[in-house]
Amino acid sequence: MDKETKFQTKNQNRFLHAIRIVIVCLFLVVLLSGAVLLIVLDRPTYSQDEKRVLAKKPAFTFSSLLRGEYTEDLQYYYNDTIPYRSVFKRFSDKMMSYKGIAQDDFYIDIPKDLPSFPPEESSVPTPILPTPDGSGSAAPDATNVPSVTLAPTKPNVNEFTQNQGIVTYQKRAMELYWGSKASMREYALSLNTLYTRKPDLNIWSMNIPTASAYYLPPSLAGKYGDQAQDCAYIRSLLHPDIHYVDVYNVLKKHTQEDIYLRTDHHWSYLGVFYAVEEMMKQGDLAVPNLKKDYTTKSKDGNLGSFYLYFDQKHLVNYPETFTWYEPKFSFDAAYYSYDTMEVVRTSKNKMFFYYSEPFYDMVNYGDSYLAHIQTENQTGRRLAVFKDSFGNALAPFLAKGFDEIWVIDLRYYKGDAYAFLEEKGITDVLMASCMFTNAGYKSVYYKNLFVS
Amino acid sequence: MNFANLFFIYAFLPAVLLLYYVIPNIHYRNGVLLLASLVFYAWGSPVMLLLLLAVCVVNYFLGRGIGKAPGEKKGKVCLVIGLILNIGLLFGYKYLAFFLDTISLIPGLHVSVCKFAMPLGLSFFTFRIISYLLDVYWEKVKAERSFPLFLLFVSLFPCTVAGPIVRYQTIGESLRVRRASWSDLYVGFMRLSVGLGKKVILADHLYGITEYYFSGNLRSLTVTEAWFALLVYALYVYFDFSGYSDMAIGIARMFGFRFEENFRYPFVCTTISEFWQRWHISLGSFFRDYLLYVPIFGKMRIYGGLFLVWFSTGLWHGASWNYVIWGLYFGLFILLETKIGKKRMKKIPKLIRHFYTKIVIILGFGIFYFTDLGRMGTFFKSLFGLSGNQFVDTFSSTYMMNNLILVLLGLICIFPWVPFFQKKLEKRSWTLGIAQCVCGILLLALFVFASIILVNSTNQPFLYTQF
Repeated sequence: MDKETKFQTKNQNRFLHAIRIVIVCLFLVVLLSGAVLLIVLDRPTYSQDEKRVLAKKPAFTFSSLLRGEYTEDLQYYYNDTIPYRSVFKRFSDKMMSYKGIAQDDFYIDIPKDLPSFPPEESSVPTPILPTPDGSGSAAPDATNVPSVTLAPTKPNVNEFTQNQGIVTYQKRAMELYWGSKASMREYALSLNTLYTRKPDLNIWSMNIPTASAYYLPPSLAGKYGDQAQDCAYIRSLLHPDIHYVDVYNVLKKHTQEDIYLRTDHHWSYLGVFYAVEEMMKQGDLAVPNLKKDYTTKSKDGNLGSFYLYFDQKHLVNYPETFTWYEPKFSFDAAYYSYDTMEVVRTSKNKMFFYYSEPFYDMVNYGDSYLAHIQTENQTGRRLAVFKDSFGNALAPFLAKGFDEIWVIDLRYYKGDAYAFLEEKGITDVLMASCMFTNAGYKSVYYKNLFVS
Repeated sequence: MNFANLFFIYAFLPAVLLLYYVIPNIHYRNGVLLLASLVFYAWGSPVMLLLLLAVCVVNYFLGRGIGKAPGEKKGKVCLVIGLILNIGLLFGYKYLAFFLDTISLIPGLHVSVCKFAMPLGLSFFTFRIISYLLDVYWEKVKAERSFPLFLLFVSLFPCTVAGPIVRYQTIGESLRVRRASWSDLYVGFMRLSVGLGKKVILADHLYGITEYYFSGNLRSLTVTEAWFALLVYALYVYFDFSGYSDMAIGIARMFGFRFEENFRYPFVCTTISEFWQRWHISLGSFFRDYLLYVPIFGKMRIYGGLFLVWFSTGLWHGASWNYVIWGLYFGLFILLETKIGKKRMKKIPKLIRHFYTKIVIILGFGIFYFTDLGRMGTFFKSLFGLSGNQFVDTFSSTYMMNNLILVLLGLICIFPWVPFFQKKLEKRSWTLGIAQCVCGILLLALFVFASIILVNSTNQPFLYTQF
């Protein structure tokens, strides 16, 4: 090799060597600055996204050190409480959302370990009309109510998983639905029993379909439960004097509007409004007017329960605008603990709290408390709403027409429902729950309140 | 503790690197490494550290004993004791319960034993010690006189927990004399980034797909889903294992140790023999060097040796019959290829050889996954459409599409692009320089990105069944 070539080779090697040094230094900067920042920066203690308290720094003891618990807990604490955790989580979800192709934003998350369905129905149908001893009856006198066989009520067994998975289609996530006839009959029995025991009450049945009733992709049509059919079935079982709010057909007229949340399993407050509007018209009550009676507020860039709790990571690409309607009229609100039945919070002219994700839960503290709303109306009508989370959002609109509203979560209320209705002078009872409750194992909550 | 962990990357590793390079003296540097290795090993289970120390003490003296009289009676006795102790330890912790469960299948015999938690990295460090003792006996290496260095060899944290099975031959000299240059650090960081990317971006997400299919109702899988699941699982195992090996090799390189490659793009093989020369090389070479020629089969030594090696290869992976079947399955194909002969194998068109090897490998992973032989049978029925299952349906096609890019990325990454481009670029140093620069920046970005993904590792979505 001549001198010039040797010189060139030597310079080239130096150049390569210099590049390597620079790259190594960059790595060391990242590593060391990461190490320092993760020590210096404040660590979060609660994850709003995951709705849990994050790991706590473990206390040192020799025994926990010897068992290896201290070091494992320390490592877990370090990994669990990374500063700006939510930001990094959303960024990584966004990146990983590009791992596939989704035509029409069609994503599937259907567990492969589901038991086979349709679920096996009990061969003994649940009766839907009560006898004085609660054991069931023969064919009723009322018309439009099918005959039933004499049999004791069989408890609903959670013999299948109602939630058949989650699909996302055209940027909307929804749960796939299947309903149990036995559960629907149990629901009807509960309302019919209430009617039998308290015929003076106005009883309302609001069976709320979920988004998959309207927005399933064409390829899945007919493969799962039909919520329209199931709603009609429930309606056919109810005593004719029970007021049925046909939410399915009301919302069907508005499917082009934002009546369901896209990233949350609940309906939107607009959908709630339409359902309540229908109920108020039926009951000759004051019908709420969105423009006159409410202030419309909205917030962009929100992600609901499907992203936060159901781990549908791709939804990070489709945040939605959440709109809610705050009443302009006056009222007082009191919130009771389900454990002590004592007031723990009060509010004046405000029903919306927790302005953070998931926004659906912001009204009346979600499922947390039994709520009592007292308005300035003087109609003599007092309403008790027995609900699941789909019924949370009704109160702001119902408050337009009723003097008082009690919002009771049928899953958490432990008292005597009949005594409650008597004590509070209730004139109207509304059962407001989604089809997963009315046609699933959770219908037993209605039975526990009104039949047992 | 494992490598794909924010605590390891941003607390443990920087601390060890800092301490190591602040100290100029090799002896003190070895002290830092030894301390770090013992802390790493004791992290989740300090009690097991005592076992590791005890194993090292015993084997150190046995090694010294062999070293003083290799090939003689005393050396032989020390070797035999060492082999019995180490194999016995492995058998006791890993295989005894399996062995007794198998015996209990014989009617009238029911034996049970308490299962003990297996010490971390037992399968790896016992094999390293066995190779050391045999190498000393065969005078390939001299016995290590320094106990701290011997302990460092056994416990060296980059390779203790999940390999590779690094031999004393490979790093013995480096224990005493080594210098980590800027190039070593560069290569080390590059390998660490590649390994972290393979593990965190590819393997962990491919595992999610695998579990989605394999943990559910296998009869409900369509034929397409079953094949897709198998392919994804094969990719997952490769990226998980090779990713970890890359990280181990990279981290060791940062401290001046040069481990041998453990994976050499195994999916480019055209024969099964070649696959095993590229897959988990340290294990394959261990069995080849220490087990294949064990003279116990007489005239049947070729078949006997093969049987022993592949039986052991399978069993090493886990105490379950499916692993044994898996090992023997590959042994059968290797025997077949041996019978056909290399020359005749080369005459078979390459495309057919590629197709043959990929099918055999992928089907092999189906045996590897299912420890329950009943479920394995159900799965293979679905794989070949014998369950009455459909070929494809809306769900299977949609789910596959939802993960297609990840799987394609995996399929791309199994090929040897880096050596390919390196050869092209080495022709001119200026192109090599630019490539090094670009590569370095990209891998740094990959490192940061993989770290961000790791933030999600403790994510616990609130399983919201009430509504």
